[in-house]
Amino acid sequence: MSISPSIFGIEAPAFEVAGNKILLSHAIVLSERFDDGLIEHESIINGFREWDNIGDHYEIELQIFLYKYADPIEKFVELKSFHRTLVDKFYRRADGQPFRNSDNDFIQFRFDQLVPDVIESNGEYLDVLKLKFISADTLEYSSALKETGS
Amino acid sequence: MSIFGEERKIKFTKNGTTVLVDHCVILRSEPEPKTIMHESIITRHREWIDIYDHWIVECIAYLCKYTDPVSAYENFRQYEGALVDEVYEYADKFPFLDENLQAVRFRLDKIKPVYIETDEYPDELRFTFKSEKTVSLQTLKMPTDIPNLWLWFNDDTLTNPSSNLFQWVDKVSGDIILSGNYGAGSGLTQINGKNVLDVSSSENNENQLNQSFFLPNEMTFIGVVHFNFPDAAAGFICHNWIQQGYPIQAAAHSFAFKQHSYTLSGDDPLYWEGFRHSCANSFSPLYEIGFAGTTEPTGAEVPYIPTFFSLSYNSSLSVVDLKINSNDYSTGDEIPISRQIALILLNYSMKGEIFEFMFYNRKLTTTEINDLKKYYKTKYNITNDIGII
Repeated sequence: MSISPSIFGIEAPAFEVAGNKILLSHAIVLSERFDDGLIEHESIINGFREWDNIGDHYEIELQIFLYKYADPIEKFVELKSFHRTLVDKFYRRADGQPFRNSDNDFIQFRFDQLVPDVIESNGEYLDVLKLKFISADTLEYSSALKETGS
Repeated sequence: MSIFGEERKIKFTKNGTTVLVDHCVILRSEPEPKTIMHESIITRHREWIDIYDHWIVECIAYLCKYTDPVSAYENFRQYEGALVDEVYEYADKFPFLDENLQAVRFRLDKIKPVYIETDEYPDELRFTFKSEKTVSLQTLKMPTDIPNLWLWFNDDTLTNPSSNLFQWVDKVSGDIILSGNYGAGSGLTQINGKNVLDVSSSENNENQLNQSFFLPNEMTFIGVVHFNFPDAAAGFICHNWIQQGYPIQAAAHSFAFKQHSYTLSGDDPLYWEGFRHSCANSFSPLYEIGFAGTTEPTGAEVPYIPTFFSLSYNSSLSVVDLKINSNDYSTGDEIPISRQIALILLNYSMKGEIFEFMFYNRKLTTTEINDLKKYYKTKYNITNDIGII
């Protein structure tokens, strides 16, 4: 049985600002957090439960191997210019779809962290960047499916 | 090789004393942001307020590797609990800077003696530095392989040991000797022993340089970095400027700021006027930087009014173009720099906080220009393009 590639896409994440898609290639995902907005009410009398879904948030931490870029300074400058701003679209996978809400509107993400760091390799320090993106509004996880939207 | 520096080793300074933390491993060097996130309990919409960004540095020094561990320990210990003036993550480049590019003081919070768990318990020291105030995101190292650049920093020093010698101590380049006669001579003639001017057509005018051109084959000038322009009353002067015959091409400008009383042969003292809005002279919407007397120049003084720099900008004041005017103050014609000189105007902030520009004695390559652009865009958080002519 062959294994199907991810239905969300297989490329590195990306974000988009004013129509410009910024690829976050040479990246690994350090962590993803699916922040479910479920509120569970449980009766203290009879244990009956009800749930309210107030919407889900999502955040992702990445590490970019800056030294792998042909021009690391240019990439750093590019990313730094968006640091602490709201980006228009965020792609969990560049070949997938950006996150949207239940009304099919694109969700803004805050480019929250940009932390320079190094990794050591054979006595040499190589630049990496740690990035964090946080959704500004609730979203539908499924909207990032490759086949979703247009 | 990191884009921030080559020598990743903690260094700090205190009262002019530099302390290098040798045999050091940096465990942590990262921002400690203070950001408040508000999330609606109804819609879960989020908004953020960024308050400040502290920085923390933790490192270990292998004390056991020092020749004299006891004295090394005692040396470090005297700074424990102290606010040190500068901390470098890359000892060969810049200290941590704030948004105004001033070094941020750090508290050397702890120096903990620890050890490696082996039979002999070799010593280590664990250092923690905490910033006193917000640290800007790390400053990139200067692009390399762009020679003949000097930058003026706020805390560079300029001394005037004799009437014809100025000594500029540059943080990056070290001593730069500016030689010439000031006040009653031909002005700046040499920088580090290199001729900066073609003296062949000396006009021998008091307080003026003799010729207006750089020599393309000489290592000439120079960069200026100056923050917070002094106002006219501050009495700053630029010690070196030229006259130029209009419409001769580019003017040569070199600067050595010093608070100085300067008197022309006439009655008008010349002084650094700094920032001058000159709607009255048809420059609008340009801003000028240059010199002027206390009164509008007239008669014989007109040719000696130095060339003006003119800045044009867009409505947001973020994209700036710079041209050098002719010295014909009355017409304000502008002529671009030529003569194999690349000039980069890096940024101008309406707040008057940052103004920086440089001269090179040659035309920079596209790669060099792009590298400098990237460097300064990062340094100053400039999102727009940087004007270059």
